[in-house]
This record gives sequence, C-alpha cells and structure tokens, in this order.
Amino acid sequence: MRIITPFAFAVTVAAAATVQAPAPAVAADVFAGKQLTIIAGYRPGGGVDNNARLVGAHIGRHIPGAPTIINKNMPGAGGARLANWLYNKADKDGLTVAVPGRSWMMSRLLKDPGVRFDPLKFDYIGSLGPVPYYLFVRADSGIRSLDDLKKSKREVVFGGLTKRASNYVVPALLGADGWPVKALHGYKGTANILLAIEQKEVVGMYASYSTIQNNRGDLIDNKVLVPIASAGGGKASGKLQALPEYMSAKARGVYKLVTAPSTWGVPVVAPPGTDEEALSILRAAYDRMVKDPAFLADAKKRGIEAEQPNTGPEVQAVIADVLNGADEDSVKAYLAYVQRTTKKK
Amino acid sequence: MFEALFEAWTVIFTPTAMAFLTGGVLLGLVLGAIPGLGGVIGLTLLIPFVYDLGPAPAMAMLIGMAAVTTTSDSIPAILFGIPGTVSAQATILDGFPMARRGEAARALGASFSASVIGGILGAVVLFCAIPVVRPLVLEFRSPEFFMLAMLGISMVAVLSRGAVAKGMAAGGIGLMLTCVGQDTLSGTFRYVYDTDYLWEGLPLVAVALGIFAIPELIDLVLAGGRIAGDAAKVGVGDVHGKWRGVRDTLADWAGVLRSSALGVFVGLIPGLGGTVVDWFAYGLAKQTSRNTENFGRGDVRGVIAVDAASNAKEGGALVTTIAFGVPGSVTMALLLSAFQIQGLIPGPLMLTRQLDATLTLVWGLVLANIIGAAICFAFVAWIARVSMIDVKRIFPVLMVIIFLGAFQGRQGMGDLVLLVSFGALGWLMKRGGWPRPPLMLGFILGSKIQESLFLSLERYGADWILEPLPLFLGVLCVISIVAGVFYQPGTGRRAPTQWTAAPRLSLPLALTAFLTVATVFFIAEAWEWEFQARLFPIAIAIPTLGFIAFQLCSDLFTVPAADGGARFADIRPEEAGSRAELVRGAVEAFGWIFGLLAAITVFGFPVALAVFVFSYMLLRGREKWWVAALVTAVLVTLLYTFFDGVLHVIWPEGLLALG
Repeated sequence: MRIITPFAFAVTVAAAATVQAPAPAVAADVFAGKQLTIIAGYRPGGGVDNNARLVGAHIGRHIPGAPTIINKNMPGAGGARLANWLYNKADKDGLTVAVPGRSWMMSRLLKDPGVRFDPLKFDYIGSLGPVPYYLFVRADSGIRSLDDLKKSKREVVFGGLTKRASNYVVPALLGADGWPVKALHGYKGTANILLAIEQKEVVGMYASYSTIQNNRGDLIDNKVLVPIASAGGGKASGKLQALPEYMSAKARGVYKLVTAPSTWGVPVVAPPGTDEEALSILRAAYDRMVKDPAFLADAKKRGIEAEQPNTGPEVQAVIADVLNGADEDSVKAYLAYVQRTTKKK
Repeated sequence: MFEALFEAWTVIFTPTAMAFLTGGVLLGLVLGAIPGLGGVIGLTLLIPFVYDLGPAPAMAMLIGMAAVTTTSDSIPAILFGIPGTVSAQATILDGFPMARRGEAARALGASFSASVIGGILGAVVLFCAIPVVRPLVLEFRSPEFFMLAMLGISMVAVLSRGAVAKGMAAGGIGLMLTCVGQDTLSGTFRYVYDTDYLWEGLPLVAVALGIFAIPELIDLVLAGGRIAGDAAKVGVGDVHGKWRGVRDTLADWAGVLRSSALGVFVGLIPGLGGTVVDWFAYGLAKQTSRNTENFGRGDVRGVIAVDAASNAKEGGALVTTIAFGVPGSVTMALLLSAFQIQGLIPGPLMLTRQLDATLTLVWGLVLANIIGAAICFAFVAWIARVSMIDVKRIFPVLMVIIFLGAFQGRQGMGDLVLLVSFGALGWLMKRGGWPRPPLMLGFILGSKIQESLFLSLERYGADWILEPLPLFLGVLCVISIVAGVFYQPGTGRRAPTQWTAAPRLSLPLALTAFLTVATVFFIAEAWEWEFQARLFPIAIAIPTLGFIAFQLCSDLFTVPAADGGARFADIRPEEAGSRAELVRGAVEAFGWIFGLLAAITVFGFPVALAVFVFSYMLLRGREKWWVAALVTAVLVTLLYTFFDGVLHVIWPEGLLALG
C-alpha cells in the first residue's frame, strides 16, 4: 500500500522505518485543519445544489480531522462545465470534490460540444442511489393502468422539459410504439408542467414521487394525479405495472439509456487520480454518512430520496455498465430522440 | 379574508420578526445597489441560516431581503447609468439624464417614493385580487402566454418611435441573440461551437451591463468633469430636490397606479417575471402619457413608471410562486425552496385555508418596502453627492464593479468577453442613434416566445388563435404596434428626408455594415440545420436583415436630421467636440477596458483588478501615488473578503496562474 501524505518528510520517515503508520492518525492528518470544497454543477435552489448542500452539511462529521466544508457552485452545460473543470484543472489532493449533476456522463454517448472529460476516469465517492419513477396521469382521465392508456380513445398528452429530458423521451417512446400518447416538451420547469396539468393542457407526466411532492404535493394528496405504472430506477412501491415490460424491444433500448441517470442518482465525484488515501477516507466518510439517522432525517426534510445509497465503486460500475454496454442501435435511436444531427449533411 | 389579514399582521409585527426583517432589508439594499449582485446572491447567503430560525423570523428576513433589491437598484442606474439589477434597466433611460442635469436628488426621491407606493399599491391590488388569482392564472395557458409575450414585443414599436428601421432591426437582433445555446425544441446546439460556456445561451447580466453600463461610462469619461455636469446649483444646496421628486411621484398618481397594477399583473403570470416588467411599464407609460417627447431625456415620469412597477411586481410574483409552485425568477425559486425548508407547501391551499401564511408574506413585502425606501430616502443627499465627484476618479472603481457584476452571471471568462463586446456594440448603437431598449426586449422575450409558440402549435394546432383571450390579446398587440408607429402625440410633421447621391462615410455606417455582415453570417450558419432548429433563427433574421439593409442605404445616402431623428426612448449621446476627438477618446477608454480584459486573461482576476485601478488612478485620474495605492488596497481587500470569503467565487485562472 502506498502512503501519500502532504509532507515529504513524513513519507521518507515512514518508508525508512517500513512501518505502516496507524491509519487513524494519518487520516486525521489528511483533513485536519483543512477546507473541503464541494462544488455543485447547477445554480443554488435546484435539486443538484440541494444534494450538494445536504452532503456538505453532514459529511464533515464523518471525516477524521473534521475539515471545514465549503459549498460552491459552477453552473453550466448541465454539469458538463464543472466536469470539464474538475477533469482538467482541479487539484487532486482530495480537498475538492464535485456534484456536477445527474446526467452529465451521458455526454460521452451524445457527443456534446465542448466536452473535455472521460466520465469513467473520475474517482466516484458515492451517490444517494436510484430513484423510482412513475407515469402519472390526471385521475379524471379515467386511466388507471397501462392497459387503459394503450386502449385510450383520446390522445393522452404528457408534458416534458427539454428534448433530452426523460420526462419527454419516455412518453415519446410510447407514442412511437403506436400508443395514443403525445409527448410535449418545452416547459420551463417541473412546476410549469404541473400547472399545465391543472390547466388540462397536458394530462400526465413521467416523474418521481419526490419531484411532484416537492413542487405540488397537493396534486398527489388530493388525488388529482395518480400513478399508473412504475418505471425508471430503484425499487418501486406498490403493485403497479412495470413500464419496460410493455415496450417494444427497440423502445426499451432507448428507454434504458434515457432513464439510466435515475438508476445512479446524483453522484459525488473527485478528479481523476485523486490522492488515494484522501479518496478512501472520503469514500468511507460518505458510506458512514448515508447511514447516519441525522443525515436521513435532514434528507427527508429537504425532499431528497436517499433510501438506496451506492458506494463510489458501485456507482462507477453502474455508469460504466451503461456507457460501455449500450448497443449501437440503441445509441443511434437515442441520439435521434434527444438531439437530431446538428448538420443536415 | 380580513380576519386572515389581521392574523397575518400579528405574526409579522413582532419585535423579533421586525428585527430580522430590517436585517434582511439592509442586506437587500446593499446587494441591489451593487450591479450584478441581487436577490439570488442574498438568498444563497441567507438560506443556510434559515434551518436554525423559526418560521416567522426566517420568512421576515428572506422577504425583507428579496423585496428591496428593486428599491436600491435605481441608485447606480440613476447615478451612473448602470442597472443595479436587471429590473432597473429602464430606470436608466430617464434617471441617468436627470443626474447628468444635476437632478440626481430629484430622480432618487421620485424613484424611492415610487418604489414604496408601488410596493404598497401592489400589495393592495393583490389583496383585492386574491379571489380571482387562481382562475386568472389557470386561464393563462401556453397560447395566452405566447400572445402576452408578443404584446411585450409590440412595445418595440413605441420604444423605437422616430427610428423605426433601427428599432425593428435592434429588436430582431435581440431575438436572434436568444437563439444562441442548446435549442430546447430540437435539441440542436445553435451557435455554441466547441464550448461548454454557450450551452445555456448568453447570460442576461453580462449583456445588460454591456449594452447599458459600459456605453454610459465611456461617454462619462469622454465628456469629463462631474456626473452632474457643470450645473452649479446641484450638491449640498439641492438636498431638497428629493422632496421635489416625491411631489413628482404624487403628481403622477395616475401613472403610479397604472404601473402598480401592471406590475402586479406581470408578476402574477407565471414565468414572465422581473426582467420584463420594467420594459412593459416604460412602454406603457410612453404609450399612454401626454407629451412624451422627453422620455429618454430625463422625464421623471419614466423613472416613476418603472420603479413603481418593479416593486409592485414582487407581490404578484410571490403569490403565483406559492399558490402554484411556479417561480417566475431564480430569486423566487430560491425563496420557494427556503419556504419549503420551513414547511410551507406551495399549492392552492395557500389562497384559501392557509391564506394567513400568504398574507404574512405580503405584509412582510409591504413593511420591507416602507423600511427600505425610508432608509434610502434618508440617504438621498449623500447618494446624490456622488454625482459631484470627478468622473475620472471613480471610473476605474465602477469598471471593476461592472466586471465583477458581469462575472456573477456564469463565473467564466466568457462573461467578461461578452460584457466588453456588448459594451462596444452598445456604445456604437448609442452613438449611431440606435435605440437599445428594443434589443433588450427582444433578448428577454425571445426564448419565451419561441417556446410558448411551439407548445401552443404542438398542443392545439392553430385553433387557439381564434379563441377569445388569445384573440383579444392579439388585437391589443396590433393596436400597440399601429399606435406605436403612427400615432405621434404632440409633435409636428417630421422634416422631409434629404437624399444625397454621393455615399457618406460615418461612424454609424461602420455599425450598420458590421450588423449586416453579422446577420448574413448568422443566416448562413443556421441554413445547414434541420428544419425545426433553423426555422426560428431564419424567420427572425431575414426581416431583420431587411431593416438593416434599409438602414445601410439610409446611412449611405441621406443627411441625418438636425434632431438626430430622435423621439425614440433611449439616452441621447452628448456633444463631444470634433469627430477626431470623439474617436481618440473612445479608443483610449476602450483601450483601458480591453487592457483590463487582457490583464485578467494573463494574470487572473485579483491581480489584474489591482493593477488596473492603481494605474488608471495614477495615470488618468492624476491622483497622488499613495492615494491610488490606498484606494486599490481597500478595494482589493473588500473584494477579496466579500467575493472570496463570503461568496466563495471560483476565479478563472490567469495564464500565469498568479490569482
């Protein structure tokens, strides 16, 4: 095992003595009196920043040496800007970690402009894990199941954010499979879609419980919106039909890619090649943190689902699995959905 | 309902809550007055404390902070022509010329009194409207929203009265600028090239500061002397000017009422928000007032209209945010998440069973407006005295503040490059007699128009156009355009245009030629995209090119009218000696700005700012070396403690990595 400390002197002495330093003492050295910076890839006020601040409020207690924690923001390009910076510029001493977002790693498949990182080379520290998603529809539509939806005489309109958001692509895939479903995108935010649902401009939405609960809990409490199918990552609650089983093979390939981020949650990452000792301390701290009842209570208060956390290596493996395991046809079909070719030719 | 009103009052009017409210107000006033900072940063700073506070003090503090940034943001707008927040862009148009005339105190007095009256009236209108808020908001679906945005765009006509071709072209350019970034409709990356910076398009703060602040600063330096010009009457003797401002506001009661009602309405419509309300109010004032030829030349009614509306808007925006969970701005989004920490769940119950909670917030708004305006009002004499300082002495400090303000947009070098580029564009527009407001209006409304039109067409086909509300708004839109272009109150016939056969070369011609080339390039780039991605850029750019081409011919072959053809709403350039002097002065001033940009690129932010301030004060300000050193040291220390220590800004690394 290689021991790296900030002080060359200590390394020399340790090496000369060929005695492994007692772990807690060295661990405390790494972070004692230091400042750990956690940067979010989105503006304050959104889900990603909330995640980063939740981690910032708790992880310090679990790191030997109790470093000061500072939360910063570097918004832009759906987290890709922060990922670029982390990959190419950030210090690798373990004192800078980032929460770029949910889906920035998909850039590798999407071949987005300005991306200068390899998502699989980051050192992952952990994530709060998968979040179950559902298809919600207005209760007064009379639709209660996927079978109802498939047989609906009227076109059922689902609201979505952008062309690459899963809340647009998933219903669009159903439409492409020949269901009477129309997917609309272009709404500014989740709350805008929920308003459109109230206005009956759209009938349904693909979302997690917490998304709706955090924006308009009353729509669920008053049964204006009801779930008709479970989908996406995580263990779904209840006895709803599972959406993927009702999809064509082709649609399922795209579905797997577009909903992949909901299977790994919002990961905390360190720059590639981060100091090994610091990294293992951070990972251990993260794992302890997510089991801490105070942390879980705070997560609940902030409306963040944290019941199925992943360790760093776990989330790294899940992401690698999706990015490396995707078959070419699915990637092509996925690209056709989320981002038509930039140039005509 | 009145019971809830009283109950809400007892919650907010306690010593603890009022203390936190006042604390919030003080922070909000400071942040509003510093360009580029504002409610967003204030909330980011305050939210961590919200966890440890009870609901009443927490909400009082947050509301106090968020309510008054639109009160103090007129201070830099009036004194220097720099918008303190994006809601103060239109304040500049008349407030700054007033300061240049030596009427800073009057303008500030009018602005603060309009703010507080607007804030209170807004709350009253809101209270009366509570029973109809829900049906009203539910009525505004995508088609209605689209028509409302179009109504906003139609203000371009009245804002460019007297310079129609230029105004239309400027509005078109504003719309074109919104095409930059990933297109939400087709997913295509438009004009992004190989950057991560441009994904979300151009940042509003950098564009607004570039278009308005830099040109005004350059012209201040070119004119030299004090901001208040040579008007000797100003200064200590004119502290009573503020009362004159108050009388102006009271005399314009109809305008205040109209602006306040407009502000509440714009605030209530989800997603319209603070960036447009000032332009709506300004356009409406210009459309409906008598004798508007002085709008843009320091008509106090311009200041009053804007500031009443921007404070009135907050109440409406707040109610929509908590009753529908749809925040109209980033500030409201943050406010909402802070409320949620305190257990407030947004939803229709906030208008019925939990109305008292909503009304607590509205009371908070009213009280914050009163306290905020009172504090500002008490300091008017001191604030106005800044306009007596020699411009050369404060130019470097203001420039540094603008750079830092623009940098808050996205915290990247791109912010600064855009600031300086739009600064140059804005200056040329101002000099060439191009109205700048239409450009900002187009830029602010462009993406809203595009998205809501797309949603309307996708969801309803074209049938919605003939539905009652969209149709009504459409008719208003047509009236607004026709009246804007053809109805010219209080002015005689225009002098006939004089044509020349020999092409004339001039400074405005350089701008028009540049815009022609840029627009052609813009179209050529878009031509290769798939249909959905290129439709909007090309549909906008082709008529824009038409207006620019018309202007190009006009620049080449006509003699400019004696009055500059100018009845449009924008600050007029001042006389600045011969053309050679003007060009030399501008080159020098821009030289300093580009120098600062280059220094930041090489040395990083902190070092470059220090070098810039010190050397400018020494060489141009002709200060003693120790004065320059002292000012630089104080400034850098302040910036470091605030931006680095409090805001935790991530600075761009200079090539030499000294920062």
